[in-house]
Amino acid sequence: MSVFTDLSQNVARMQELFDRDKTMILRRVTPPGWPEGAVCLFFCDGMVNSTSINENIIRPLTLMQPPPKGADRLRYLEESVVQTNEARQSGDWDDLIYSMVYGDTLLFCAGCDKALVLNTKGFAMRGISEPDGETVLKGPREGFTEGILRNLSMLRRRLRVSELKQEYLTLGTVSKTVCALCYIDGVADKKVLAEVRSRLKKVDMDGVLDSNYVAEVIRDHKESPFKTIGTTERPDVVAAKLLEGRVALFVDGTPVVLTMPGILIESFQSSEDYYVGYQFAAVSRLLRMAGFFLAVSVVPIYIALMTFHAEMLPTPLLLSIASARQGVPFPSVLEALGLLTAFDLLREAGTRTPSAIGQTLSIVGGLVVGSAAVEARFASAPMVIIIAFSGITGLMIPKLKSAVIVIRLGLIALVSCAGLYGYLIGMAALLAHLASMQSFGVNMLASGPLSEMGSHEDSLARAPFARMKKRGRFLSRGDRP
Amino acid sequence: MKKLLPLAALCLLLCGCGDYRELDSRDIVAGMAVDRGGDGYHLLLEIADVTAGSDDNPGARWLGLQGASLAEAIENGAGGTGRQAYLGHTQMVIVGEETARGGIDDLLGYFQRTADVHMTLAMAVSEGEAADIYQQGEADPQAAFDLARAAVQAGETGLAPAMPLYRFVADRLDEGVEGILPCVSRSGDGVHVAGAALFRDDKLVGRLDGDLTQTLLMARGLLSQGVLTVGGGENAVSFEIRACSARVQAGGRPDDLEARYDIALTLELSQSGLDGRLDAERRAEYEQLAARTVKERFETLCRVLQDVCRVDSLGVGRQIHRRNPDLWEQVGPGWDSAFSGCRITAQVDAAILGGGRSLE
Amino acid sequence: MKQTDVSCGDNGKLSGRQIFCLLVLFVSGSIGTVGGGGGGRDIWLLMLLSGAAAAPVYWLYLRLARARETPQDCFQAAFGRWAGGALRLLLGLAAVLTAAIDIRLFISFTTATALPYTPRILMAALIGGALYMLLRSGTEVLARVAAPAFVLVAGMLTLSFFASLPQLDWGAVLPVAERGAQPPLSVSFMRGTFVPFLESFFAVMVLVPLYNRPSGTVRPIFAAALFAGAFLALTLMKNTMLLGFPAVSQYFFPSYTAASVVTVGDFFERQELLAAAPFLLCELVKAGLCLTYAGQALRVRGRRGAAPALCIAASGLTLLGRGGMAESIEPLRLYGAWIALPLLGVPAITLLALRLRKKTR
Repeated sequence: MSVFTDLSQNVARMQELFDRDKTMILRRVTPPGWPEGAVCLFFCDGMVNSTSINENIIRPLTLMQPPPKGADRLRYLEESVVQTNEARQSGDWDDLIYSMVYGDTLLFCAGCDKALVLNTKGFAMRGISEPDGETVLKGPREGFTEGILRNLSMLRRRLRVSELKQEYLTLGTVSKTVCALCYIDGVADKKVLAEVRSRLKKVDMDGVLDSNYVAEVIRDHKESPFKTIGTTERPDVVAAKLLEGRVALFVDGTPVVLTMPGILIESFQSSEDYYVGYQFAAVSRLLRMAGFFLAVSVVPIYIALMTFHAEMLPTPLLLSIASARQGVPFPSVLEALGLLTAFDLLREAGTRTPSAIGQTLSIVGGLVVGSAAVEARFASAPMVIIIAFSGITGLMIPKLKSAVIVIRLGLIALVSCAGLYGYLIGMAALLAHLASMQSFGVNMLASGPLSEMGSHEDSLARAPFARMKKRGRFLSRGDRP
Repeated sequence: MKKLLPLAALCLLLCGCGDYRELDSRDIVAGMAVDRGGDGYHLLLEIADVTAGSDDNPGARWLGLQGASLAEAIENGAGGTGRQAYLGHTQMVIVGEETARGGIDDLLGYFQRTADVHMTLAMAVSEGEAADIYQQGEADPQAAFDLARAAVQAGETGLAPAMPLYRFVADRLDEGVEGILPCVSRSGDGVHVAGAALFRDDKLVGRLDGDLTQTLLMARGLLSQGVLTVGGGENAVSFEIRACSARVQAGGRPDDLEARYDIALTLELSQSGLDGRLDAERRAEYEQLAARTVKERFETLCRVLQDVCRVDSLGVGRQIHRRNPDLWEQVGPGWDSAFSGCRITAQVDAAILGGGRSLE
Repeated sequence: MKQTDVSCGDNGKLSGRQIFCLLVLFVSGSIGTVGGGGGGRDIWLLMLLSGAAAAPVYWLYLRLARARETPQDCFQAAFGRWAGGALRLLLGLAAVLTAAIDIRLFISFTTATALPYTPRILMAALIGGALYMLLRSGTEVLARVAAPAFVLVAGMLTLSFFASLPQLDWGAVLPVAERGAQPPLSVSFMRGTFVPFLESFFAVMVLVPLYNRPSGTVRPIFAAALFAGAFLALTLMKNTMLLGFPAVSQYFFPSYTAASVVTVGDFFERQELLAAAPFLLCELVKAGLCLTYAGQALRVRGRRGAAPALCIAASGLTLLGRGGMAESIEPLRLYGAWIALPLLGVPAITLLALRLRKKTR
């Protein structure tokens, strides 16, 4: 159905569509000296910038001269009267409604079979702040917010070239969420881009309220605990990844941006690595990799040494641990699982509670789990230390949090059956799993210290900028320079 | 099928707990005394008691076991205490004198086959019964691993050979050399690890005192530090051994075998009854004294090995085997008697670095 | 298009470095089969000579791998459809058996060293599962795993070697070739130290067609033979110098025992992990390559269910028999004998037959 030429019919249609919705505002304006050119404005209260409507639409309408005879009314209004920065004509009701609920103002004119869509967006948004999960000691502090336009502008400020493309698309049959696919033309891998577009077309859900909705549908290896799509809330990170040849997807309503392909080494990289000296960056990155390894390994190895391979422990250490374990009624595996569960419960509770209570909760939790459990002989002190160490190192890499939990549990199950051999087999299987994973055609282990091909300027350690000349390091086969 | 797979995996994993053992279900055996009699094996296990003493110096408790074999005796212990004897951290095994004279291959075999056992554990031979070594009065409670620590210290200073199990097994099986083990004895003022027990194959055939043991270790290149005391009484002079190296040249004809040892010692004066500065003349005098003493001890050692015990603990045969396999092919089969007729000489060079911090 | 159909990563070809790493790991994985022939004190020397002697054999395998579009086509092209097909199948089954023997050796190793009461079926299932992870996505996975696995294996064995330096008796390898060359060569060479290089037939047939240089000499495989020979020789030499001779021949896994006696200071003792971890990694790579060859030979590769079927077959074979160490060692003495001739003779005869057919045409 298209727009009616009769204004009253259009008004009736709008009132019918937005029946019982008091946020839809109707404003009639009759330009002086042009009674046949009555105009109706429709906009959603709370989504628009009232000043813009008043100053750029209503005022010009009330001061306008009637159009010349025979002139296209709507075109005249669009080009000569209204003073909004963006205006277009549309005769499609779906398009009009979609635009209005997103903050645009609709202008229906009597005798026109189209309406004007005028940009008057002015909905309230959260201020720009540094994302909690990606803080840096040195470097920019901006983070994305929920508004896609502002986010895209933050990106545009960093990449001021026309090759930066931001293609809009809509996902979600009900939510009609605005998304933007961004890439640098000539740098981004064409096959990856084509694959991303192809998978986005298959997203079929009612509401896309967060980028994770999209990520879970389009990612490779859905059953793997390792993510194959990168995420970030920082514009500088997105800009850097686009320069490396990746593709980014912005989703309106969430500050989390998806970057594709997502490979393993990204989980150990931080934007801060590029804002501090390369030596310190190298140490930090190695610590993160070591942290991941320790987080998944230290508990299983401890259990294996205690229960299957006690002869591998140095004698003084063994005696110390044996002394500490006196009176603990639980087997080491149950002790470890119990403490891990307690640690995760505390972590989850700390995340959900208001910050005022959170600190108290941490202290109480630490006291209860740590000291009291040891004194009551529910757990041994060495095990508490091991679990705490594992938990803390696991928190060093937030992007691999779920992977750490899953892998650690799996390794604990293996070592409880086959000791260190179970651990070794588990790690070999993990390595094989990572080696088999691809993200939009790029190996998960690409450009890491474990990769076969590709440069290693930015893997285990970051090379000085003078030596990092390549870009587009993740090109798929055939496109490698 | 996909739903059955996790269930199958769970069942498989659960059936694999056969080797799972908690620490508190085990008795950590620090040391073991083994005596073999007509009725089987008598073991006295020194068990680390983590509830007594401190974490790094636990107390000890004792467990006497008996069985037709070592394995049976240890299993009997589990039946009595409810805990399994864990040999993974056993650091010292003392073998009684009579047991050693009868042969210890059975013990070596047991320890080699048991996966838990450290192949670096030390074996020692006691004077008399091994169990007597671990007897202690209430006035001098002993901490677990004390004896093992003493053995390590003695090995470092040359009082007794540092002979981990794997090395003894290597010497036992190699041609042209016989194994040696440290000796342990109990006297009024405690337990001492000093001297060497000489073996022919797996049987004890003799002992050496501390000085001869040190000389033997020098000749075999197993001594890296220690104290060399020469002279006696008021004229005794002691040197710290900073370095010791030995080179062997063995060869000759089957009926005229000879072995020449070149022993080089680097010493530092530690204690002297004489006054005055350590000048060049005094130093030369000390060097000659040290070299002469070591040479005399070496000659005594050779007499003991060749004439008294008739056992090649020096490893002369091994040197011939390694450097001159054709000659070894002729003399090897009858080496026990050929060794006794071998002419063994030594050239000892001692160099004194100084008097430590002092010029005198 | 399925998401998993996208394969625009590394182009499915292997680099020289990957082939080198895989082959070294493969040969190292066969170290468990070495030693059954009585090489004695000179086993390290025999291993060194084997590495050098492998060069002409690898040249033979290389010619066969490149004789036709795929190596498996050679047999039928040489001997006809039925005879060639039967030969291909037999070699495929031999590859499965080789993988099974190696898994069996590893299970015996774990039973003998640390897990005497753990059921073999569990260990077989665990190893089968790890193999499946390696095989399910193709040879590229093995290739990507190769480089890090090689670094880990070489690093651990090198670390173990350096840690053991103060305890080595350097004269323990003397005298060299005490009884001359002939006796050990006739026995140990063909049934012991050379077997790993003959078994590389399976690996070469899989890897060479995937080399990213389709023509010319595949230098990495010759480099791998020399390197593996030298590296394993060093390991065997270290074992002898640490444990003494003939004591070293008393142990089922001398490398493991040697690692257990190494002490660094007072704290770092019992470094068996430095022997066990490389052993496991090499075994997995070897079994993975053997089963990949089997998949090609049995013409099931790429079919759904092929990877799990092959892994189950190899793991299942390990459960036959009572499974003690004696049952593991005895067949090895025969295995070395009967595998050597076919893996040497079949490629040579096949190439000869292909040449004759070409001439008659």
